[in-house]
This record gives sequence, structure tokens and C-alpha cells, in this order.
Amino acid sequence: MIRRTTTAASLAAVAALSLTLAACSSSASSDSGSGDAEGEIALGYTATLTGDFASYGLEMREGVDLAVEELNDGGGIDGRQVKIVSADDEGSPANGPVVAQQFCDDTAIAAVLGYSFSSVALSALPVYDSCGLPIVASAVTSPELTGASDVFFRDVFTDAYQGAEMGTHVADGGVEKVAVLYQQDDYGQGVAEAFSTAFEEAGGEVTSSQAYQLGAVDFGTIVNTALADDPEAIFIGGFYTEAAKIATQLRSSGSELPIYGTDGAVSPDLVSLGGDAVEGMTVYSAFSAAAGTDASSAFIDAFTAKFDKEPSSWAALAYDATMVVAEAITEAGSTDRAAVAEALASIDGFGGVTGDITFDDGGDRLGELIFLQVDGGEFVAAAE
Amino acid sequence: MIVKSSWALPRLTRLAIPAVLALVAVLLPFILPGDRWVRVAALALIYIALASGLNILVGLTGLLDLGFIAFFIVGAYTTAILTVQLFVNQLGFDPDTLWWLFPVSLVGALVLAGIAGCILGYPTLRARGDYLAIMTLAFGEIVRLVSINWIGLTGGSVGIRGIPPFAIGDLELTSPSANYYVVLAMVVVILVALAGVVASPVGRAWVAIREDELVASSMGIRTRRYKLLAYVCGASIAGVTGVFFAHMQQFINPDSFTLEDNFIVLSLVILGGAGTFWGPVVGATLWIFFQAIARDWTIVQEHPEFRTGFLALIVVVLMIVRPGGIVSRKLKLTRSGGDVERPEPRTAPAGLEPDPIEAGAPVLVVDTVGRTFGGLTALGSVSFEVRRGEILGLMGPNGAGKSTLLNVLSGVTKPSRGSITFRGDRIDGLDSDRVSVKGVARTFQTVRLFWQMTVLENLLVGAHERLRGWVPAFALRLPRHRHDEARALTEAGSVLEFAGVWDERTRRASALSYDSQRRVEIARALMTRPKLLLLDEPAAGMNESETKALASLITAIRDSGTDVVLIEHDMDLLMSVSDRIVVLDHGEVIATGTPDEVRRNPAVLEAYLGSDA
Repeated sequence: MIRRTTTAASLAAVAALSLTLAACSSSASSDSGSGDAEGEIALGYTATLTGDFASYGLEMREGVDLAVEELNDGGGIDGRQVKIVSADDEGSPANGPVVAQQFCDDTAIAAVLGYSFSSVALSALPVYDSCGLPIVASAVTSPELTGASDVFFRDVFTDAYQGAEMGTHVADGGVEKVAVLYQQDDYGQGVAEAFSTAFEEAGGEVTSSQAYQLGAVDFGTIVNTALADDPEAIFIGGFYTEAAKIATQLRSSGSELPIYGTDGAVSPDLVSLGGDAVEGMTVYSAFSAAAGTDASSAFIDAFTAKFDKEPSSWAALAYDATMVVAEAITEAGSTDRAAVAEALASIDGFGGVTGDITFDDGGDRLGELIFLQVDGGEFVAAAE
Repeated sequence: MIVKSSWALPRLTRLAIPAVLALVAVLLPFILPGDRWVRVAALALIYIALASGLNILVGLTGLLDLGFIAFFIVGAYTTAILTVQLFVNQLGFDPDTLWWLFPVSLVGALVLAGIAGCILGYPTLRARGDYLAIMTLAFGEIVRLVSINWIGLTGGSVGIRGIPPFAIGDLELTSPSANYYVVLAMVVVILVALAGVVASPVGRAWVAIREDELVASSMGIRTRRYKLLAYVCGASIAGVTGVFFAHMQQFINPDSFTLEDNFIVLSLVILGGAGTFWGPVVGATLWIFFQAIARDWTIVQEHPEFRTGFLALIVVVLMIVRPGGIVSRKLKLTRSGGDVERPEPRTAPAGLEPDPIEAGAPVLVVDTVGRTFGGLTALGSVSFEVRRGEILGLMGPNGAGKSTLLNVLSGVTKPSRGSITFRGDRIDGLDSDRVSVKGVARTFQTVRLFWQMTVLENLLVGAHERLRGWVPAFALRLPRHRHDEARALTEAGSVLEFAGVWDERTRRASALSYDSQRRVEIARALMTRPKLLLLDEPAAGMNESETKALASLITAIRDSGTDVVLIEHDMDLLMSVSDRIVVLDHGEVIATGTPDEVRRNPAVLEAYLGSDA
């Protein structure tokens, strides 16, 4: 008797599950119906939307929502309204292929936006390759993603690219000898290497290169070692907490050398921790409210009006990614995935709120960083 | 012949559930509405395998493991490092031609994960509860941190990309359905093998350890070895699953294996029903599918955090409604159904040659045995002997040291001094499982059965020593073991008939009457084919007629060739069945002799009645 009932129960559970799935399938097919030919254009959006690392995903979503709203207010893309199909990847690479397959299956989807984690994107790429669905990601910076797939693009700069840009920028500023300090992890190591290589290629000399641990407190020794070789500037490849402490140490040892940092140091906390010591420090960022271009100030106004807060750089990048995709669909003249991917590859100098956007052969973004300087406790666009 | 025909029918009905599930599993890619759901199903299969592996530890053996994902990591990285780092990057092979490497990776992962299981299992054998939990958690983190920080080998946080997909020759199995079927094949093999191991002496030993470790060891089970084996088996399953996962994803990095995953897999086991066979399967399937389904809900599209919240709520409600998990179907610990016809009662320990020791010669010699606990002397210096063919009564007032003596004799506690010789071999210092294997069985003062098992399964645990074997042989269900098991089952039937509880054979131990529990416990001890049986107050709690019936059972045990040491408070019983009696008081033997002699011994009277002296 007990056996009977458990059998029945398990069969019932299986039946219930199939019914639920069938219900899903019908709703999914109605989705794809609405997106057909002259209907809506759907864009997939996936990122980590729950858990400890949800903030990137939620901020990106705000940028995407603003872009979609503006597109639709302006008559959509080629007269077709745009809608977003969103999926939470939970930051788990195991979900990467599942979400990718969901977007692949939905024929209304022309391109995919988002991605908080490189590992999730990497695990999803084989699936996107198989269905040719293009992706324009906004927050993943792993070097592994460079050239990983023909349909993968990103409008966020890689750490290596940004480090190299900084190296050239510093050399262009007339500095010939730099002491490098970097945080001992893949971020710090990545930017520092790229910086040093670019700086040396531009004719500069790296007098010393020292690593420090994230969370370190006393920087006396490495600052002294850095100063020992008479550098003309200091480059710090690391986050704001340590950067502020290094700057303080440097100033208290009497040095007035210029300090260069990375996007990891761009935080109001840099100033509150470093105070006068970080005054004049130069850093870079992909986007800043302080950059002051027309496009960016219009975006900032619209964003602030909609969400009642200043946009983060992730929101700005995702906004741009959406606009780039819209541009590519317009160029392609259809939502055919291969055509959209091709159009994305040939995007050239699209004017976004984070500057001009062009993708290189590896799907990485070419473009100019925004250099910022601490002036009176605020980040302002650096004087060229 | 009778044995065979009586199997046929239950076998068919038993196969019904797996057959239906297998059919659904095979047809699933055609039923599911899209490739996305096929990928969800493949992911569910991965979690089914992991949960089933962890269930060996948590559900069957009762060992906590909060770092189980570590074995999954070992498997996934084994194949990634072997295939990509070694064969592609170092030796320059084309990844498309490496399909033959897959079985090598599988074996490698099986071995390495097994070794990892050993390494984790060994130090945790002595730990229990909180300490075990922390230890497994720490081990899991060590493996994870190694995978993050040994950059040269594992690619660090970047991970390893370009792991070739499943393939046979030139045929790449990359489509969602192909992936699904490959992983399904793995899960079927794992479940079939697991079912074989569970319904074998190994599975019964695991459950016996979970139910009552001390009793398990008194049945001749080397409990530490079996706990280690549970770790190795669970780890191997996770390792193999890791290999499939890596090739399915074609990319792995530490983000795939977070601390949280340990808790998720553990939750799946508990949600589905820990210690059941289908629980982990049901738990993993429902969880993964509902998670994916919830993603499509409009409310979740707008507010992603609702999904996690809602799923958490379902778990909480489910745990309140069904605390034992969704599946409550009892684990099958033997695949044989047992004879239907009433057997002949056991007459003599079956299959033994005639005893070389003559009646009346000493079989157990206890020589000046003492045992102290800290400053307390439980046994001073006890000497006596048990002779072939007798029931030796052991009596003494409360606190005289009777139970300590029994524990010392059965290897539960080691004597502080003195020697115990059983049939020419020293048995003091042996663990209780070895004492059992030497031929000394025991029962306990309060009945200690494996409550979740049926009566027959309880008895089969008693036959552990002669049924045990190599795990792969049980996983493969070799006919030899099936034959042995059928024979043991027949023996169990006749022992039960002998003990007068044959009618109870298919009932769960916890459902028995008190009298039957006592008798089953004795029957289970007899299943070890003991030459000496130690009975610790078997009549406690019995009424007069039950006690009388017990007396004739004890006599019958002696007459069938097993010597008996009987501790009993019931003087009538003790005096009526004992051939000789040893009287203990304050940890010393104060009298030895026939019941009549003891009854008249002034020292005994003084001990029992007190003296004005």
C-alpha cells in the first residue's frame, strides 16, 4: 500500500512538473510570436541580480532600462518597439549555458546584454557560438574573453587596455622614470604589467616594481624603496584603501612626486581616507559624471531624473551597449543574428556616453579613457 | 528452485519505479518545450549525482560533510588539467582529437577524488558533531583555495577554457540533447551501482553505523574502515561527476564551485529525503527545475530577489510539513525478498565443522582482569572460566561490575590489566568487531536494534563477516554475492524461527513488541554464528510467561552448541537455566559454583541481603 502511494505520488510530481513546463513553453512561444517580423525586438539581459554581487547587475539594468525607454519613446528600432527579456545567472557558471540556451531558443532575441562575471560569460560562449547570437557585455574584464568568440563584444575596457593607456598617458605627460607599486592579485598584476610595458615602449623607465598585499597597513618600506631610485612619479595599481595609505606615507616622507592610480582608486573614499595626500592624484575611468561631454551630461540628467541618483559607470556602459546594439540592428536592417553580429564588428566610432565605441578583432573595445584628477577633494577631468 | 520463483514477482514490482523514471528520463528531451529545458535537465542530472554521492555520507552513514564540493573540484580539474594543460598546451595535441582521453580522465578523477576522500576521511574518523563539520568545511575550503591560487596548474581565478566537448571519434556531442544523454548515462550507471552497493553488506554496514555505531562494531563491522569507505565512495561519485561537468561546460573556474554550493547540495539531500535512495534524485530535480521555471515569472523578471526568497520559503514550508524530506520510501538494504515458506528452525550453527573442544573444557579464560576508570575501580581482579557446553550465570548486586565485565569481554572497553583467552587466543585488547569475528557475540542491557531496518535486515547485518566483499563487486552485482546473500537470508529465516519471531521478519524493528525486540536482538547476535553468546539482562522488562519462554530459548541456544554467559537480575531465571554461577561484588568474584552452592554461600547472602557483621 505504501509502495502504491509513493509511486502515485512520484508520478503525480512528474506530471505536475511536465504541466508546469508545458505552461512555460506556451508562454515562451507566445513571447517569440510577439517578437516576430514586424513585432517587438527582444534583447536578452543577464547578469547576477541576486546575492552579494548583485549591485553591478542591478546598476547595468538601470542603464539598459533607460536606453530602452529612450529608444521606444523615439519610435523604437526601425519602428519596432524594444523589450528586455531578463534572466538572473546567480553568478554561477553552471547557469551560464542554461541562460544562453534560453536566449538562443527565443527566436525574438536579437542580441544579449549584461554579464557581471567573466566566468559565467565564458561558460556560456560555446552555446552562443552554436546559435550565433551576439553579446555586448558591459562589466566583464577577463583577458580570457579577448577573441574567445566571434559573437562576443564588450564595451568595458579590459584591465590590460586601461593599464596600457595609462602608461602611454603618463609617458606623454613628460614623465621619464616611474616607480610601480601594485596589489598582489590578478587585477593589480594585470594593470601593472600592462602599464609598465606601455610606459617602457613609450620610452620611459620603470625604476622599481613592488607588490603589496590587499589589506596591508604599513607601506613605509616599499615607499622608501620606491623613492630610492629617484623616480619622477609613482604609479599605484590597486584599490582606493591602499592607494590612499600609500599616498599618505609618501607625502609624510616629504616626497611631492605626482601619483597615478587606476579605476580601482576611483571612489569618494579615496579622498576621505587620503585627504590632502591624494590631492592632485591622477586616475582613469571609463565613465565619469565629471567628464563633461554633451552626450554624457544629457545621459546623467536623464538618468538622475528617472532613478533619482547619479549613474555608475556600469549603468553608463550598459546604456551604451544597448544603444550600440540598436545601432547595429538598424545598420543590419534586420534582427538576423549573423547580420547583427557582423554589424557590431563593423561599428566604428559610435558616439556613446562613455566616449567613442569601436570593437577590435577580439571583440574588445577600442576607445579613449577618461583621466580624472583629484581637485579640492573632487574628481574632475584631468587637464590635458 | 523455490527461492527463485518466490523472487520473481517482488522483483518485477520493485523495478517498476526505476523503469518508469528511466522511461521519462529517456523521453525527456522530446517532452521538454525547448533546448533550454534540456540544458536545465542536464544540470539537474549533475546535481542528482552530487546529491546521491553526498547522501552516502550524510544520509546513509550519518557523517556530516560541509566540504563535499571539494571532490567535485578535484574531478573537474583533473580532466581540465590533463586534457587542456597537459595534452593540448604542453604536448600540442588538437583538442578535437582528444576524445579517447575522456575515459583516462574518468579513471584519474575516480582515483584522485577517492584519495582526497581518504585524506579527508582519515582524520575525521575520530571527530564527531561540530568538530567533524568544521573539519570538512576547512578541507573543502583548502581544495577551493588551491584551485584559486595554484595559478600555474589551475589557471587561478581565470580558470581553464577550451575543454573539449563530449565526443566519440569525430562525432562531437555538443547539442543540448547529446549532452543530456551523456550525463544521463553517467547518472544511470551511478544509481545502478549505488543501488547495488546499498543492498549489500556495505550499505547495511553504513546504515548500521548511522543507527548505532557500537552495535555495528559488535556485529563484526570495522566501523572506522566503513566510514572511510563512505568518504571514498561519495568522493569518487563527486569526482566522476566533476569530469562530466567540465566537459559539459567546456570551461571551469573557481566560481563554479563556491562555498555556497556545499550547502545547496546538502539541502537537496535533506529536502529530498536523506538516507532514502530516491530522495536526492527528487530533491535535485525539483529544485533545479523550479529554480529555472521561476526565472520566467513576471514578478521575478521585475524583482529578481523574489525568486530566491520564494524558493527559500518553499524549503522552509516543506521542511515543516515533511521534516524527513519529500521521499519517505525506505531504503532497500537487501535485494532478496526472503523465503516465503516457514523454514526449519536452526539446530546448530550452520556450516561449521564439529567443535574440537570437548564438553566441560574451558573455552573462555578470564585471568585477573581489572578495569579502573580514573580513580574508580570497576573491576578489581576477576578470574573465572566459561566451559564448553554450559550456561554461565553472572550475578551480583547493582554496581558489582557485571556490565563493565561484559564490556571488557566483548571488546567495548579494554581491560586495565589481566588477560582474556578465548579458545586459545588472547582477545583482551581486540576491538569489539574483532572479538565478534573471533566468535563472541553479545546483546545489550537496553535493546539496541537498528530501528530503521526490517528484522531480516537486522539479521543480515549479523551475517556481515561472511558476506563482506569488494565494493566494485557489489556495484556490479556479481551473481556470487547474490547467491551468498540468498543463503544468508535463508539462514536468517531459520534463526528467526528458532528464536520464535519468524512472523515478524518483514516488519520494521521499531514496530516490534518489546518481547520480540529482545528475541530479534538475540537472533541477530546468533547470526554472527557465535561460539559464545553474552546476554546482558535479556529478561529485563519481561513478564513471567515471556521470561519462561526466554529461559527455554537460552537453553536451546546452549543445546545447539553456543555457550552462553548470562547476566540477569531475575534470580528465578538465572538459577533455573545456569549450569554454574559466578557472583561478583565490588568488582571481585566472591563465589563460584552451581546454583545450589551459590544459593547457600554466606558471602553471597551477605552481599545481597546485607549483614549486621
